Amino acid sequence: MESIRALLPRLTLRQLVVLSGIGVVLGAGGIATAAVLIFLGARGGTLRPAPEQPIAFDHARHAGELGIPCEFCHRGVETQAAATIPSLEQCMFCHAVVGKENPEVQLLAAHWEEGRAVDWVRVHRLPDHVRFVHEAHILAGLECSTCHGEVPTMKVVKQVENLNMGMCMACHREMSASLDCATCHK
Amino acid sequence: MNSQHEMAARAAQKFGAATIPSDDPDLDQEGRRWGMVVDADLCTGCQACVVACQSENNLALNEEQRVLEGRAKAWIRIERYWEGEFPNAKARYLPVMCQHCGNAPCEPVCPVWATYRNPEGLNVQVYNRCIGTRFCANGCPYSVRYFNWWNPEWPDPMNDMLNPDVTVRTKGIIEKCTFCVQRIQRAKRDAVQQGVELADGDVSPACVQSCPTNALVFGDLNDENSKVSQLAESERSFTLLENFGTDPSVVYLSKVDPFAEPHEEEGH
Amino acid sequence: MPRLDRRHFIIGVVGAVGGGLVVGCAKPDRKSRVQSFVLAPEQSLQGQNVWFATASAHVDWGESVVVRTVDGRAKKVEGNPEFPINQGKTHVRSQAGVQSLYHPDRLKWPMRRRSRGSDDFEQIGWLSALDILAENFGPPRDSILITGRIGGTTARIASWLMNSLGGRHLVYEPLETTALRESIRKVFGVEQTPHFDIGNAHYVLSFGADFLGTWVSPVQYSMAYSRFRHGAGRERGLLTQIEPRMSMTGSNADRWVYINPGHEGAVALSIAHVIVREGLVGEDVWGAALEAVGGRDALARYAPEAVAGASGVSAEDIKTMAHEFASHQPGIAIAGGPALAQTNGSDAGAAVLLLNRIVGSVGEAGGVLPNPGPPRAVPLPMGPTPYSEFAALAGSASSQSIFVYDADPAYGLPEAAGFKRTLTEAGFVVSMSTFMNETSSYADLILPSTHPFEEWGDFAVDAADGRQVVGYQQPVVTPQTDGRSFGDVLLAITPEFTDDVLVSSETMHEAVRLTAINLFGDLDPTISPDENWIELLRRGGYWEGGAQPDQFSSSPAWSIDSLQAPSFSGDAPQFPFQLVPFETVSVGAGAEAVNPWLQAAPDPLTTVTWTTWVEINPHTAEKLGLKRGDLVDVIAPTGEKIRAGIYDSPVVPPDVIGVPVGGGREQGGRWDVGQGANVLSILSPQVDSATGALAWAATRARLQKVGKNRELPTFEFFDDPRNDEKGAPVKVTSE
Repeated sequence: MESIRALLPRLTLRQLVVLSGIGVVLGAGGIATAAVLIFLGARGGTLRPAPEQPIAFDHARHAGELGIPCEFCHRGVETQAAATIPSLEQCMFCHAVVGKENPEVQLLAAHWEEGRAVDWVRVHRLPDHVRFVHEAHILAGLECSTCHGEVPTMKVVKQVENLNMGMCMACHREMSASLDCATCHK
Repeated sequence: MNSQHEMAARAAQKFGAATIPSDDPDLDQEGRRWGMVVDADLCTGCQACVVACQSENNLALNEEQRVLEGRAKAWIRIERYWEGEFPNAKARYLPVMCQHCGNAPCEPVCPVWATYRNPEGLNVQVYNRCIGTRFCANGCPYSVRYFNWWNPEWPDPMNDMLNPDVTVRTKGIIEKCTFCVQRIQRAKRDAVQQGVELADGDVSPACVQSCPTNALVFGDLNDENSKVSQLAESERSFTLLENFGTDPSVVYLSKVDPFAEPHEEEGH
Repeated sequence: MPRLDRRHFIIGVVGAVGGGLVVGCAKPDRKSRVQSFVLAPEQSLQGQNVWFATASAHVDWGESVVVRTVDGRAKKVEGNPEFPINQGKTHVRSQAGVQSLYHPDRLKWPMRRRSRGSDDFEQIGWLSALDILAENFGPPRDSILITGRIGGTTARIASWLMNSLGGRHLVYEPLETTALRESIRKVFGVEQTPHFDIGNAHYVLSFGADFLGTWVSPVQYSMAYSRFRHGAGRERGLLTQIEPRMSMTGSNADRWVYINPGHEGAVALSIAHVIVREGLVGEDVWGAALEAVGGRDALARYAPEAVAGASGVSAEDIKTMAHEFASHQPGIAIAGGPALAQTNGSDAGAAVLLLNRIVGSVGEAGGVLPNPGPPRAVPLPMGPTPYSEFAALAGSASSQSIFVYDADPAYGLPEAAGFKRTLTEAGFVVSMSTFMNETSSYADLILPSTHPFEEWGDFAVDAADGRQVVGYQQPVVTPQTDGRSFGDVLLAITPEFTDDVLVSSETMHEAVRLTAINLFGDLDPTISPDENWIELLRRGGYWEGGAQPDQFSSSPAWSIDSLQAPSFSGDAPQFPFQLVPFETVSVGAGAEAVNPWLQAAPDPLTTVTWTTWVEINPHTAEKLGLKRGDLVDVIAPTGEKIRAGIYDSPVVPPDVIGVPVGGGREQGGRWDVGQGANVLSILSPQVDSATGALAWAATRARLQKVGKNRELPTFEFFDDPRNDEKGAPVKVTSE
């Protein structure tokens, strides 16, 4: 016992009381902060600003002004889990001819000529324990915009919905879709 | 029980989770009830199912230290029981995985409803809901629930072989056999895509698929024409720990031994 | 300790909290990247499963698998459902194909040793590696190629190379099956393994053949075993296993009979004796066969009573087996494992196989059927070269250049063979493998080979099902390392071919494709040869009937009198235990030990993982004062020893110790080096007198206590209420 006491700082009673007081305040503050963070998280506090992409692809131009349907490029959306990002080859079907004066298209062409993949930054992402299947939702008649917002008006694509479990559940309930955990959680 | 369920339902509603399925026994009669038949007379002990399961379900590597600690994970394991003494000693094999009980001891003890029985008879473990109390593992009489004492590690580039359809479980949660629920979902989606009904034999968990002697058979126990429900009718069928009243979805067929000593037959 | 006043104390606390907040809130880079294809591969869709049929990476009996790939990564190995040998099923080792593919310790680039005797390797490019290889492998040195059991186009190219260099090609197999092949040759007069039709048999009499786990073609036989036991509309077949240590197959037998090793041939002949003497089968069935091997007189000295003493099998058991075998026809008698790894191995094998002729199950469904042979351009996997030829290399080592591919004789050959010295003294050693192994640690040049899932190939199945079965191997992912396939390297260094296909092939891909198109290009005449090739790849091979089966010889070319009594290394008083090495179903003879899945897959009987153990009878252990996990030295008459823990197993006879092979690797990866001990290294150089094959179960041993205990990593830790229940947890019925 003696030896342990020797290692402790010698505090007066007053110091001890102040110290405990600070401890209590910090503890309560920590819990409060954590609660706020969890609350914000649940409310969709994860929404982040639109990321900067390696090539400034303009969805408003393609999907909006030119009216190209989403599934023209995101070809997996009706047949499989992932909607997929088009290959550069597919971009070059058009851009071998059009828009050659645009510096971003030139950047694209440079990737194509060097045979280098583009490192797109992911905008929409679900956690690892969720199995989301595009195909099933499209077959059920959902619009892309339900989850992704009005992409044809976005110059830079940004996540607009929380895509949290509450949102999934609300929709599943409304549409009388499966509410079984195992349907979506893997 | 009832008030507990109401509370669960309220909590689930509030937090946007699924409503907890009821205990209503009739529920199982309507839909499917996935089940397995394990023929102890065909299991040779070859371990193909064990490794197939580890590959399919991203199980952490069972390093030597983990085995020594008794914390190795094997969603399906082949238990071996000795009988008798040399020269009449025998080894008997029994593959044991989650029994997907109709009346599962693991379900009521979970304080956060991370494990429940789904409408197709699966005992589901929801990893993101699990808080790691391990009550369920203690409650399971078959010892088939495994706790993650560590985060799994696969040195680069071994993580390239991980199955994208199955979550990698982190430290602090319970995991167990899912009857390869990802394969069930995939088969269902394929059936919808092709515009056909799911047929018997369309779904095959990894263990069943690899088993060279077809000692494992998988299917819908509620479909009287399925291979599993026909095999389950066999005179040789039994379930593990029948007297516990767990109502397992895994039915075993007894080992046949034409030279068995008479006293060994007392068991049934 | 400095005096802590209030002001300093508060500043300290605020600083610490502030620091914590800054660290806690600093955002990690949570961007996740997603790459687009430049050119989308035709058969691939992002996120979609793509399945490729190819050859299994870890078994050599000819298993075709389909590999699930997602976004260019291999995910899962499953049996090829169309392939006749495994029909969608796999061996446990095949499942680990993806694990060895993505193993972190694979050899990544060619390396040259800076100076002999050092471990100092430098990374070099393939061009200089091939230059060094072409310059040093071949004349004026004797060139010796050592490989595993290669076959198909690769073997064809290898034979061109060795012809042009005037060298020799040795085939190394750790637990040699030369004796089995010799006994098949003697009794049936064929080179190819016949089809043992277990699926239609009513009785299997197996002398040590672990046909459900490791013998010849275990997945095929396991599927057949399923029909043998519970096939529709038939009686359950009976399996009798006769062996010195219970194997996995033995544990599934209805009747398990202990035999003193080396007496399998005598017991087989004694069963024949009973069948002939008692006329259990008509003389018209066995008359000619028996006459060819020496007649009734030769059989006379194998009466059950005469054989019982030395063999340890009671006369009663011999008679029972003879009656059962004769009355449950068709039946099959097979031999393998320790039965053939004896000084009289190939004659014992012949005696066992002769039983099939005695009961007339040869050429019948449910018996032994001939296989039709491979197409000429796709040779069968080569049979192993007998041990004696490896031992003979030591004589003129310095004039040799040795090229080792996909084999590790430095690990698997007994120390007594002196093979490590041969490598040290050889003029030039090159080793090609996927992982570092003990042989490559002696090499002057190390070449990384591609993983089987990264290369092209073809194979013909030796133990086929009565049909001609050819399988194809294709890359399922882009190579993970700067490795090349063995075939590509051989094509690069072979000076000249006159084989049309090989002349016009610069790569294995071309060689395999052209060979296949020559053979099967007009299989479906409505499509082009190239489309036929694609169809072959999709199915994984070709296996329709059509080829004329080679017929068995009309009578065996063997004499009962050639069966000798076995001899063992070490005398019984000094070396009281019969040492029976065995192959576990998962780790095999060492090459698979790099895979942690296979290391951690329990041995079915003992449930031990990760290490080597010594199986011993519980009563013997008690007498010696040994308990589970006690370390012992297993000492062989050679003076060599290994150290391992005791496992008291109720299925091991009192004077036998069983030790699994595959442990004690000194080179390899992080999961196998230093795990367990290598029992192969301590064996005495006993050989089968007829063939020179290593008699790997003909060594005796003694045990020496170490005085330490090391817990064995077993899967016996499940605390299960079923253990408390009365009677056996596994229900047993007799019907």
